[in-house]
Order: sequence, then C-alpha cells, then structure tokens
Amino acid sequence: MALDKLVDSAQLDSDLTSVANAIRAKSGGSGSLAFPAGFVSEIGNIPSGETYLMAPKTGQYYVPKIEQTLTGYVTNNYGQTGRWGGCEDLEELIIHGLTGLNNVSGRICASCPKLKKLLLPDLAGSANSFVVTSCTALTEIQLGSIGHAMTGLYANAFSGCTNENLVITIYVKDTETIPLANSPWGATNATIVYRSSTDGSVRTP
Amino acid sequence: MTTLKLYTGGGISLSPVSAEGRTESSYVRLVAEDGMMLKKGEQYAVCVDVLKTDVANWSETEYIDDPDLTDAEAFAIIFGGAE
Repeated sequence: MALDKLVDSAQLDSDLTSVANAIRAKSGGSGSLAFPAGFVSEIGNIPSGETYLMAPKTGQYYVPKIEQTLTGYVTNNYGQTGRWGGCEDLEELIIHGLTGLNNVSGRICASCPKLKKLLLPDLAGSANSFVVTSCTALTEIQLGSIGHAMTGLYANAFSGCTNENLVITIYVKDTETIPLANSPWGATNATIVYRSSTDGSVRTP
Repeated sequence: MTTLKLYTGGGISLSPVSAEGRTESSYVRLVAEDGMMLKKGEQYAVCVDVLKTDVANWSETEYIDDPDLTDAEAFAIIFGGAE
C-alpha cells in the first residue's frame, strides 16, 4: 500500500456522494452504494445509448419521451393499462427491437393523455392484440419499417384513439393486399398510410 | 351506422379528410353507433374500411362481448374512454 497522498476525508465523502447521486439519478435507485463494487455494479446495470429506464417506476411516469430497446417477440401480458399505461406526461414512445405482439389482453399502453407519437419500427407480421388504446392525443403511429412488414392487426388494436389528426403508417410488402383487414382498427377518424417495406413508397388501394 | 367518404392520393392511402391532391376513394368507412358493432358474417368491428360495393354486406348489431376481453376493455371499445 502506497501512502503518498493526503486526503481530506470529508471532501472525499462529499465527492463520492455526488457520484453516487448521479448514478442513482440514472438508475432510479435510492439505496446506498458501497465503493467501488456497488458503483461498478450499478453503472453496469444502466442501459447504454439513449435508452430511458422504464419499469415504470416512481417518477418515470412523468418523462416526456421514452426511447427503449426491447428484445424479440413479446407474448407476455402487459395488462389492461399496458406497460406504459397512464404515463401522464409521456408524449413520445419509441420502441426498437419489438418484433411482435401476440396477447389480446396486452398492449403497449393505454390512457396516456399527452401521447402524440408511437413508433414501433421493428414490429412485423400480425399483431394479434391491442396496440395502444384510449390515447386521444395520438397523431402519429408507425408500425414496421423498411424490411419489417406488417400482415395484419387485431380489429380493435387502436380502440379509443379518436384524434382527427391521427395518421397511422403501416409498412407492408408490395404483394400485400391493402387495405389490411379491419382497418382502421378502432381508430375511427384516422388517416392510413401504407408504405412499401421494400422502398418506403406510399401504396394506395 | 355512419358512412364516411374516404380519400386517397396526395401521400396517403385512405383518409376521411379531403385535401389537395386527394381524390375520392372507392372505399368508405363504416362506423358503428355507440353501443353497437358492425357485422359481416363472423367478422365484427366498431369501424371498418370497405369497398362501396361491399357496404350492403355489413349490418349493425348490438355490441357483443368479445370472449377474450374483460368488461373494462369491452367498455373502452364501445365508448372509447379511459379504462
């Protein structure tokens, strides 16, 4: 052990607390962190990139934008309010990596009064569930993208999303018959835009 | 049952809103009245885009509970309100 520096222990404690507070602000945790193992562990648990942590936990109901990466095909039941249901200040929800929804009782979210934009660019195939319901401020929904083609949606996938300015963009294969069955899937006032999953061009029936 | 004209072109596929560059589509949007559903055979919906020539095949019926839905979800479909 090299004893070659004088340390102001009070200052060191204060500095470590500052770092710990910064970590807790990102992780959403509130417990004490032991140095260094606790710091290292907690930092390692923070997702990389522009991902926002969403459980949702206390306080996370009030973020205006969530961009998150999920993995694969989600068949579990997020419940009647959805995983992000009731997030009061949520305006944009962008979920990468979500390739499927397959539980009629689940949904991405419901009753988010300020939600304007929902993008699920990696969704593909048939979504046999609600997607988003009772979000009356929604003006933009995107399902799929180039290389990710939708083939169908549950009849009431957008139940209660009644905004007259809502535009639902759905990527489909060039060979897919449009309109897809049951459109506009409960969104009574929506404008539908079918785009080619090959080149993004707009298709008309 | 309410029948809405649909428009196409001008960068969109189907819309109940007319705008520059859009022309009237051969499709219309059928919307069920409150507490009702649209029915064609075994197919049910609260609203649906159909060819004008197919309108006669749709009728309106009292809302039927989807066995996969809870009462709260069914309520939300009918009234579009919070669950």
